[in-house]
Formats: sequence, C-alpha cells, structure tokens
Amino acid sequence: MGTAESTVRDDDNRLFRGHSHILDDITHLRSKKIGKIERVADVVIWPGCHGDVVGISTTEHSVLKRYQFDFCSICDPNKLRMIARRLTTANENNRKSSGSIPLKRQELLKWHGWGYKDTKVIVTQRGKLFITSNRYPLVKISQVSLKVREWIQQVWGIDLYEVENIPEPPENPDISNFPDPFLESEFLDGLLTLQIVYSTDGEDRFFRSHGQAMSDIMNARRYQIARLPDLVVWPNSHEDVVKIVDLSNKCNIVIIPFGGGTNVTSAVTCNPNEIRMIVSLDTSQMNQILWLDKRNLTVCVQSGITGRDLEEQLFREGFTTGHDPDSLEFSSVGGWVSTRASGMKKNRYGNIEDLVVHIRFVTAVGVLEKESRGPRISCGIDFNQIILGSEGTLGVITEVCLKVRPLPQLQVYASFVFPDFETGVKFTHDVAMKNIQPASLRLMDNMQFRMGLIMKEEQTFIGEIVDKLKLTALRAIANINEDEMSFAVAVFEGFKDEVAINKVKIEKLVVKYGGVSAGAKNGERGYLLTSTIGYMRDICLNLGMLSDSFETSVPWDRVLQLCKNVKSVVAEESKEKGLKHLSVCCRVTQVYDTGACVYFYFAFNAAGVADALRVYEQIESRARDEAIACGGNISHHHGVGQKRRKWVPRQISPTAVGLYSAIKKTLDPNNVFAVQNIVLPAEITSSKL
Amino acid sequence: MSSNGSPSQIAEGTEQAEDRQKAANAAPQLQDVLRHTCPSPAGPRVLSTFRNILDRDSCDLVWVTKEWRPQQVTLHARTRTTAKIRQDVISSPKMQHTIEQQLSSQNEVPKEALWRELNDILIEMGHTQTMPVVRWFGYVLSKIMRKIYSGVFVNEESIARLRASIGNNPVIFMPSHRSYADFLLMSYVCFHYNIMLPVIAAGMDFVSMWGVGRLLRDSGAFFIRRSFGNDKLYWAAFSEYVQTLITAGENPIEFFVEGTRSRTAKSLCPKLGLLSVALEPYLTGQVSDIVVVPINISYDRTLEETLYSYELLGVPKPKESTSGLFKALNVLDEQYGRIHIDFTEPISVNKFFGDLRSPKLMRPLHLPHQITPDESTRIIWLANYVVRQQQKNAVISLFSLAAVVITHHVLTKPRNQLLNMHQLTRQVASLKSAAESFGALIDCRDNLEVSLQNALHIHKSLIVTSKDGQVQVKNVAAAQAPIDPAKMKGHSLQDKTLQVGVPMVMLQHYVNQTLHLFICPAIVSLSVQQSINQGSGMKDDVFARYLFLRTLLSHEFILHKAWETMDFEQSIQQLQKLGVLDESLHDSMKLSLGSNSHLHQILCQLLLPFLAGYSSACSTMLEVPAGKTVSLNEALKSTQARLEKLLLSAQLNHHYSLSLDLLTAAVNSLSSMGAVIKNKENGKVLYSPNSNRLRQVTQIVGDFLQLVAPICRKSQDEQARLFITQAKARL
Repeated sequence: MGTAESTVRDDDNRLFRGHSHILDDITHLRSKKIGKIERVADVVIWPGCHGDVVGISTTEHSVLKRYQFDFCSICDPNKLRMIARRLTTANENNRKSSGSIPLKRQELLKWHGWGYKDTKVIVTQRGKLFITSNRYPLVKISQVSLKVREWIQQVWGIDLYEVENIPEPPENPDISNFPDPFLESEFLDGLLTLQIVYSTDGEDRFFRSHGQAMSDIMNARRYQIARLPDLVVWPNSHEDVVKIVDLSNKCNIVIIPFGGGTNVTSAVTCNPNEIRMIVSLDTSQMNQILWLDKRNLTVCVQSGITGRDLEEQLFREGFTTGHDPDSLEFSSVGGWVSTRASGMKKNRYGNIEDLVVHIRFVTAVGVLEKESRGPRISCGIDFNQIILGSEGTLGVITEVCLKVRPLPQLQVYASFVFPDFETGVKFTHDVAMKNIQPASLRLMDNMQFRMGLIMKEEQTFIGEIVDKLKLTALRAIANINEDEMSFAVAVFEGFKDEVAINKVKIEKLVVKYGGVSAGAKNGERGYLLTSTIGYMRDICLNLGMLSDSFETSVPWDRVLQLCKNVKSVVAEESKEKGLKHLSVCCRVTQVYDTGACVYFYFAFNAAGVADALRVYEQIESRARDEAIACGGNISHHHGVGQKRRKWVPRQISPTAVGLYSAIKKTLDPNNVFAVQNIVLPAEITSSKL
Repeated sequence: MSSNGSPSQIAEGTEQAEDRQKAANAAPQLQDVLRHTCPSPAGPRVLSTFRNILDRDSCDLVWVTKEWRPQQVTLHARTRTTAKIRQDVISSPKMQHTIEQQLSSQNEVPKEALWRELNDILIEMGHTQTMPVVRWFGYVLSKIMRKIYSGVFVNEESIARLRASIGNNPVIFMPSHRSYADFLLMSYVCFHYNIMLPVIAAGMDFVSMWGVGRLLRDSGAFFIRRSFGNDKLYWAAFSEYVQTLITAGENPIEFFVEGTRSRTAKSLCPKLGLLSVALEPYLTGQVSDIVVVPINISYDRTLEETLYSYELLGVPKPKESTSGLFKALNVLDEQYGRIHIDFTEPISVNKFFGDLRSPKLMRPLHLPHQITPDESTRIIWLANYVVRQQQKNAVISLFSLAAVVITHHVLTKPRNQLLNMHQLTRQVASLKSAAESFGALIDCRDNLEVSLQNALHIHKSLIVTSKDGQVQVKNVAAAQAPIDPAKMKGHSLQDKTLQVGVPMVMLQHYVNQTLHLFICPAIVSLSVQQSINQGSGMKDDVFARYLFLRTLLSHEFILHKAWETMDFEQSIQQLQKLGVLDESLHDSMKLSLGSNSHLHQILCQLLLPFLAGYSSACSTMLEVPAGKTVSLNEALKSTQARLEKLLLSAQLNHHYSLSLDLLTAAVNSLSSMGAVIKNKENGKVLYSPNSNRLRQVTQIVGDFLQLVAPICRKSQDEQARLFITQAKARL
C-alpha cells in the first residue's frame, strides 16, 4: 500500500466485510500519518449526512486529539464518509439483537405506520381484503359484503370495491432530507470509552423522532418533523444507563428514553428549540429476563423487553403476567410503567400499577428504588408512584419486577349482542355492581360493530343464508335490530369450574338485559381485530382518510351521556368544519367497579379538506373538552405526552403541577430529560414550589 | 337639578354600585362572547321572506293527514311513551335520592306516600302528545285561523336557518308570549314545516278547563303549577321532568321566558327559574350543547285586547273555564289581521357559556346542581338576550305607529283640533322612517295610505274614521255589572275613569308594541333635554341621567345592565341622524337638541305614563309612616287612588299610569334601587320606605316628570271630545 488514499481505494471492497478490517485499515492509514499509534480499536469517525466528515476522535485524547483533523485533511472526504457509514453499520450489525426488536428497527418495522413491515392490509378488486402475513390468522382474508360496501360508501365516501393500488409511502424514507446531527464531541468520547453502541444514521434518528399518533405518522410521512434526535444509543444494562445518564448530565446533553415507540401522545417528540444535543436512549437491547421466581410469583426483567418476548418466555415456564395491551408485540415493560398502561385482562390481573413490585429508576441525581421485595410496604409516601406515569421526564426505568401468575387452565372467548348501546352499558354496569367481571369485557357501539364487519371472512352461499336466518331470528325473537344493536366481547380465564360459574352468571345477566349470545369465535375475532386496528388505521391514511383514537375514563353515572355528547360534539364540529364523510364510534373497553374506560375512534375523509390534520386536531381537542366537561378525564391509559398537556393543570390542580415541577427540579436539575411531556415547560419555570 | 342628589348618585346605590361594578368588569368579556356567538344575519330583514302558511296548495284535510316524517331534534333520539317518561323520572337517581335520602328521612314521611305523591304529580304534569289529536286539532285550527286571520306569515329564511342548526343537540323554543294563541301557533308552524313538534310548558290554569286541558296535553303541553314555593318534591319532579326531556332530545322544548302572557304587549322581564332548570343538563355535562331559538310572534291585533285592558286596570280576570272560552268565541266574528312569526338566529348555549362550564365533576349526578354566581349572571344575560332577540325580530304593524300618533294627538292637542286621516298618514310616515332607522321591520305591503287604512279597519272596534276623514277613538268600556269591590285587584275606579281608561289602555297596548324601539332613544332625548336645561349638556352628565332613568325603568323594559353603554352610543347616533340631536357639533363631548323637535316631543311623551305612575308610587310610599309596612296590594290600591284623583283633577291625563303592571314594576324598581325595603314576614312580602333615598328618588323622578308633563297638559274634558261617547259596549 502506498499513500493513504490508495489504501482506501484498494480496500473499498474489503471495508464491507467487517469491523476489524476497517479498523485495521484505518490503523494502517493512521499509522502512516501519525506513525506511532498503537491502540486503534477506539478510533471512530463521525459522519455527517451530506458528504462531510464531522470529526474523528479516539478515547485517548492525549495521544490523538491533536491529529484528528489532520487525518481528515489527508483523506478524500467522500471516501471517508463511506468508511464512516460502513463503520457504523458494521458496528451495529456486529451486535445481533437478543430480543425480537433489532437495533435497526426499520428492518423489521414500518417507518410510515404501525407494525411489521411484512404486514399490511391490501384491498383487491371487489372488496377483498388481505393481510400480507400470517401473523393474524383469524382475520387474514376478508370480503367486504355488498351491504358493508354500501354503508362504507355512505359513511366515508369510499367505494371499497373500486379501490385498487392504493398509493403507499415508499418502503424506505427519503434520507436526503434529514438534517445533520448536532454532536457534542465530549459526549461521543464518553460513549466510546464506555463501549456503548450508538448511531448517528439519519434513518435511525428519524425512526425515533415520533410515536404512533396519527399526527406523528402523518408528519413523518411528510418529513415534517422539526427536530430529530442527534444520536441513538443502545445501552445493554442498568449500569450502561447509569453511565450514560451521568455522562449526559456532565456534558449537558438531552436524553429522550425510547421503548417500543408505540406511544400515541407525541411523547418522544423533540423540542425543536432545544439547542443542546438530543440523544434517543433506545432500551430495545435491554431485553433480558433477569430472573423468574416461581415460588414468589415474580419476574425481574430489563425494561426494554417487549410484551410479546416476555410472555413467550414466561409461557415456556408456565407463567404469565396477564398484562395484555393491544400494542403487546411492540411496547416495552418500561413504556408500560412510564405511561401507566392498562392491559385488556386487567379485571383478573390488574393494571400495570397493580403488577409492579419493584422498579429501578435512573435519574440524573442517582438511582431511585425501593429496597423491598415484600408484597406491600408502609414506609411513608410510595415513590413508585412518581415513576409510574413519569413519561420519560424524570429518568430512565431500567429494571422492573412484576407479578406473574401460573398460566390459566382455561381461556374462553364469548360474545353477546344487545338491543342497543344503552342496554349494553347497563349490562356492563350491572356486571361491575355484581363484581362478576370476566378477565376482560368490552362493549362496542353499533358503529364500531359495523366497522368490525369490514374484516369479515368471505361467506359461502350457505353461510350467507345462515347469517340472514340468524339476523331474522334476532329481530323476531330477541327484538334486536341490526342497525341499533351493540356488541360485547368477553374473555374468561381461570380453572375450569371457575370459568364455568363465571360464564353462567354473565349469561344470565345478558338475558336479563335482553341480550343474546353470539358465540366464541366472534369474541376471539373481536379481540384480534383490535390488535390489527393499527394496520387498518394505516390503510385508512393511504385511502385519504384521517383516523385516530382517544380514550377517557368516567364514572358509571356519566358513561352514556359522555358517549352521546362526545359523538354529538364531534358531529357538530365536523359539520361546522364542512366535513362530509366521517364516522365516530366508541366502545366501553374496561369495566371497573366505579366506572368505565371509553375508547373512541374518529375518522373522516380528508379529500378536499384544507389543512386536514389541523382540522382533525381541533375536533379531537373539542371532543376531549367535552369528555372532560361530561365527567371524563384526560386519559385512561394513553397518558399525557405533549398532546394533552393543556388539560393537566385543571385535571390535577395547580398545586399538583407545582409539586411535579419541584420533583422535576430536584431529580433533574440540569433538565437532562428534557422531553416536554405532562406539563408545559412554562408552567415548570413559573412554579414557585 | 335638585339639591338632594344627582341621578348618578342615586343610580349607584349602595348594593347596586357593587353589582354594577361587577357587571362593568364582566361586560367587555361578555360582549366578546356575544359578538362571537351571534353574528347578525346578513342584510336587513325584509317582508318578502315571509310566507303565508295558510295559503297552501293542498286543502286542509290533505294537509293534516300528510305523512308525518319530521326532522329529528337529535339523531337516534327515540320517542318515549308518557309512561316511559314517567318511569324515567321516577327511576332517575336524582328522584331516588330526593325521596329516599332527603324528604323521607328529614320529614319522617313514609317513602311509599312520597312515591305515590310523586306519581300523582307526574300524572298531573305529563304531556301525552298523540298525532291523531294533533291532526284533528290542526284541522280545526286551520278553519278558525282562516276565518279570523288574513294570514299567518312565517319567515322562511329563518326556518331554513333553524333546520340547518338542529339535528345534534336539544332545542329550546322561546317564543314571545302575547296571547293564548301562542301555544297553538308554534306547533302549527312546526307541523307545517315538518319539524318535530315541541313539548310545551304551560301553566296549570288550563288543566281545570274541561276538555281543553286534555286537548292541550294531547297536543304536547305539560303543566306546571304557577307557584310551588318550598315544595321540594314538586320542585324535584318538575326539574327532573324538564331535564329528561332535554337530555333525551326527542322533541324541542317550548316555554315562554317571560313566564306569562304580557298583558301590556311590552316584553316582560324574563323569568329565570325554568330556564335555569332547562340549562342544568348542559352545565353538569349531561348534554354537550343546547340550541336556544328565540321566536317572535307579532299580532296585528291581540285576541285578548279588551280583557287585558280591564285586567291592567284591576278589574278581575275571569277564571279560565270552558264556558268562558265559548263565550269568548264571539271573537271569531271579528278580524284580527296578520300574524308574523320569525325564528331568530339559534343561540348555541355552549358558545354562550363555554368559558364558564366547569361542572363540579366530583359531585355525583344525583345531587342537585348549585348554580354558581357566574353561571347565574350568565343565565340572566342569556334570558335578556333572548327577549331582545324576540324584540328585534318583531314585525311592527302600522296600527302601532298610528296608535303612537293618535295618543300623542289626544294628549297634546286642544279639543277643537281633531285628527284627520291626512295628518295621521303624514305623521305615521315620518314615524315609520324613524322606526326603520331604529331597525324596525314595518308591515307595510302596499302604499302607506292603503296599508294604514287596512290596518285601521282591523281595529275598527277601537278607532273609527268618519266619512270626512276624522279619526276618533271609540269608547269601548261597558257599563259593567257592578263589581264586587272585594274582587277588585286594585282600587275601585269610577265609571268615568274607566270609560276613558279602558280605550286608552287598549291604545297603549299597541303603543307598547313599538316601545322597545323607542325606549332608549326616548330616555336619551329626555336626559339631553334635562341636562341642557340644567346648563350642562355634557355627554357625561347626560349619561348619568340616562343611567338613572334606565335603572328606574329596568323592571319595565328590557334594559340589561351590560348593554347600557352600547345602547347609549347607538341611541345618540340614531338620534343625531334623525335630527333630534344636533349632529353638527364640534365638541364631541357636548350634546344639544336638533331641529326635529316633533319627534323629540313624541319620544318624551312616550315616557309620560311611566314617569307619572312611578312618581305617584313614590309619593304613596313616602306617606307610609316610618316603621310601618304595606303589602304590595295596599301600595297599588292607594297609588291607583292617588292617580285617579290626579286624572279627575286634570293634573294628569294619561290613564295608562293606572296600569297595575306598571305600578308593580314601579314598586319593584324602587325596591331594587334601595328606596323601599322589602321584608318577608310569615311568607308575606311587605314594603317599607327608606326615607332618605326614597325622597331623593322622588325628587329626581318629579324633575323628569316636570319636563314631560307640560307637553301634554290638557284637561280631561278637553280630551274627551275625541271619544265617541255613545259607542256600543263590547265586553
């Protein structure tokens, strides 16, 4: 090898092959220039996005600092950039993920929507719907019936028999638009010393700049994200996190914890005015079960493990946490804790706050944890409660100890229809009054029930006749009308006899309220549909619809009125904004003794609507105002994020906002965790506590 | 100006001052709310958008039997049977709580008895709207209306606007209330336009009328006792009944915010009870919005005109009875001209209250909602706004303007000067243009002369035009069967007084129909004149006097505090345009009278009966010895007696001052100004003078009266010439 330049050229091919080669080459290269460098493994190059090299550094400042830019100057910048990109790639590829989520999420997951890359809904001629993977077998193929087609046409102004080749965003984002990262060399040096994997790649940063709220996705599709994180870092352990937080605190860097990325509250959105470097701390590689204690029914996990990975591993051991949110495949345990998540089967297992036994929480001033594995402790204020729902603003959750239960002997689905939504709600209320909740119980209103019919298997001729007969029978015998009825689904879990008794009780009550059983399969489909709802949302977006969900929790005496009023306000507001095709539907999705969680879906056809996204946000905001005015609250399980901050002071009192600000200032004096969730920044600064 | 105090000092009475301050602080913000809430409809109103619904293609029978597919008030609302509504009220958590927790345990009454009582109350109250009855009733009504009215004109533009704004939220219709006919008209119009028929809150008086109660119930009326004081069970039942109607949103609710028929044809000050109850579901978050639709119903001639006249003078109203109704059927022989109905811009309660709506969400729904002071202020505002909207959307008949001119003539001109048709037309024309500049829509379809003659013809029982074109007032007072003085609500007036009084009060009924247009300009004109006489004329000084009069008359007219500045400025502009005030002033802070002294005089004269009545009420109250109290009735009687004396001795010449409504308002006004003190003793309301303040007020009112009185100081004998003395008795 002659000059440095020729080395690079000659070895272009070799550079692909791996880590060590590159490093060798660079060592070689560097040795030529500097002549006396021995330790080369720590050399690193910062690439910029637009063909420039930002800088080079090593951990041994004393040796190399002086030379780093000399090195740049002797190289062709284009080639160096190439080296740099491959270096980072190789660096990451070298670390194969031990969990189901790879470092490069974009390889598995969509950048422009919900879920797996290989899974999307396709509409073919005459209203056939396919899901392009085998992940959701029960709803894989469906056929939109003529009747549903007509209805959809009327409600959304879309003819599902005519749509074909729906335009889709490209598989990979257009990387030319990403701004350069802003990098703090001291911090990078630190990371290097700690040997923690990171990336400044545009796609990586872009992927972690947004959550799954419809507005987030729309903004991502249009590349209208004001600020990307500057760097993504993948710690492996609690210790890594402690070091990263320490370093950030020292270097005045911002950390935004990133778990499953399934938030729908814009909870990872970077502050566009932030002048410091922003690091997205991706916990996906902290995905190990640390231990399972079968005798004490507890499991200790790293916070980045996804629900699916955790449940699969526990299943093999014969256990379950029973925590089952719709986002289970992607969302992480840390995310659950920090947003106060709720699982579908909370009636049997509890919500996340009931499941948590112990949390390790890394803050800028130290680790917060409770030294007790006992089932309960009375030791003053329970500080777990400030970790639960902290939404990444106070620190990073690294390890969580959860309750587990042995797998249930039996799991049975069921479904029921009621004459209308009102009787359905009365039924669910009565279930709560009698305290006979199945593991899960949901009640959909007529509109949502009909939406569900979109994803229905193709009927054979005989099947159609049977269906018609069933409907006629319903109308004749039970006086249930297809256009008014509501639809409930339930899951029973437990020992055989336990399930049987519970089922009988429920069925009796169903009869009391004029309902009729609709079979187990419909029940299971009902639940599966909710885990594909994200994919449905995306196809809606592709079809030019805007649609999203919002939820609230409300005492029983106001459930019906809240549903009615919110729908009415949405309709009114839409009328005012000139929307022609829209749907708003709801379901009672959690049943508590004292009230219920109500979940709304709102969708409208954005064709011809100016600034549709803003229109959507305005209507949703109005709807939430109304929900709150009707006795509902800001959120049942989605959390606050940056979307719902304006309602917080009214919801929890200004005193509580002051208290939060005081906690924030104490735990995070340098505002490392500067993601502006929960409370508007102005309210923190103005607080006097 | 008297030495006892300036009007401004009086207007800013002790407790009042605080309220005023509060209102002033709240005002700009509320003005904002209003501005955003209610954009004024584009373009001026015109008669051409009114269509006569009696003039339709199909015959009445086809019309009443048409297929009934009305426009729903709220989507998905299902019509409940009467029994179901009753069941819903009984099983409502609020009712359960009231009976089980409150009444039963507090009063130690057995629950069963209370439940029975509740059931009875609800049966007494409940409506039973049934379409067959509505249809037949509609048929009969069509026939009657064709006979006595020359048309029922509905503003179709406003119907279109109404249609566009209903469908999502409960709707409340709030028509103006001048006649019994109002009850039926609204349903009639809704039926015609395929809008869900309203459920109507009616007074209990109808129930005792055989057949009629049933009929009204079947066409959708529900009945509320006129007074139920502290009857908690009744209150709970009534409010739950109204609220279940609101929250279910199956029918529009209709009630009269004025509370009762206005005998005077002026809008009454709005009553807040039913309105507050109806708004509660919104305030507690049970419905997301309520649409309030103020409606104006303008009659050319009121069915009850003579009856009202007697009633105002204190001759007792016969109890509603079916036989009385049949007797009244002789009204069917007469012509009553046109009716104009205008649905005004629907008001979104949410937009009106949005900033205030912070329900006590921690309170369960079964506990009664305590209306906060802010909410209450806003409800008052809304109620006043509704009435103003009704007024603004009135259609003024030419006869009302003629009544102003005739009254003015009667009061001001000497006996030998009769009013001829030519003069009348000329003066009505000038008054019409003045009224139009105040925003009125005048019912004048042909050229003025023809229209005026038509209008006079409808009122031929009160006004006659002789062949040589002389316009005269008929004496319509009957030589009555002697009235038992015990039954008299007021002072037993002499026949001589009644003979002039009844037609004068009837005439004033039509004058009153125009007063909402003229009242603010009239107050301003008078204030300017007085201020100039006192050597000032500065705008501030005028404003202070204006405020005093406005406060004084706030129980008489719709003069909500929040609008005082707005009204003042508007009136000044309008008066300047009309030449009543001088426009060409260099000093914008100084006001002076303009060239149009005739209109100025008419405007000032309009205030005469009120100032005279109020002044007498003051004098009466002054005579109450310190430490003694009088009941309202006693005060009214002695004031009427005093006024009669003045009338007979020709020191006063407007009989409308005798009106009991006017005098009641006077006492109320004095009470809210702190000039008399209201005490409640054993459930009886008694009044005692607050001497110092009362003396001040009396002095100032007297000063104003001094200015107005000379314009029309003529003896009664002289005026009497205008009346045809041997006119046939009609009652």
